[in-house]
Amino acid sequence: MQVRLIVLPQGKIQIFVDDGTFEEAVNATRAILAELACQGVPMELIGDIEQHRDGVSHVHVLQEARHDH
Amino acid sequence: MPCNLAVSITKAAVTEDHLRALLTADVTSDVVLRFLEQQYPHLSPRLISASGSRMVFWLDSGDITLTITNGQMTVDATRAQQQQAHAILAQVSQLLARLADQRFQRQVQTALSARFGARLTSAQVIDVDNEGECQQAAVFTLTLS
Repeated sequence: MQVRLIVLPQGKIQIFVDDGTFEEAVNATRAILAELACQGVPMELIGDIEQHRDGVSHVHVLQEARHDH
Repeated sequence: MPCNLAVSITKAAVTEDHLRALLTADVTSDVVLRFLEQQYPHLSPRLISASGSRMVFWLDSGDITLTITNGQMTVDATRAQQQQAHAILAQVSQLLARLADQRFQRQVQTALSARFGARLTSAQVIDVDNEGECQQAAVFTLTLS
């Protein structure tokens, strides 16, 4: 399973789960948020974990600027 | 991977207090002082004190006093320096916002590395379109079993 966390300005993130079922994606997302909280990064959900479909607003990648890792 | 292949999308955020707490004096004071020295060399900026989450800078021998406490700024200035002081306040506010963003990105990366180790398979800085606004962001990819 591949998960992408996009860290945006002003302390916001968007988490994309790219494969698996929606139930698996929800469980993975909740686990990651719990792990972040344990590591001192307490994130508050903005809305629900949404199934990707037309009409869900989210960031779109324009350009990869550089590799850090 | 194109976004239309994602299964789920989740939005979350930390509080403003969390972001401001990242702006401790030990990581902020040098950055702000260098910025002031570059932008206002004629005002001879000086760092007067830095401890915990509080920093005090003097410009023009104290005619402008910039104080940052818990990531929030105040500025005191003589009447003659009021306009200059407001410009400095606006510029340093933007600088602190960028610094908080960088610190937050690093904090997330550190947390993911600590918990997921080699399963954190990439970290990149990217440009994104966020509801019509171009923003720089960091993307971290986890490969989970």
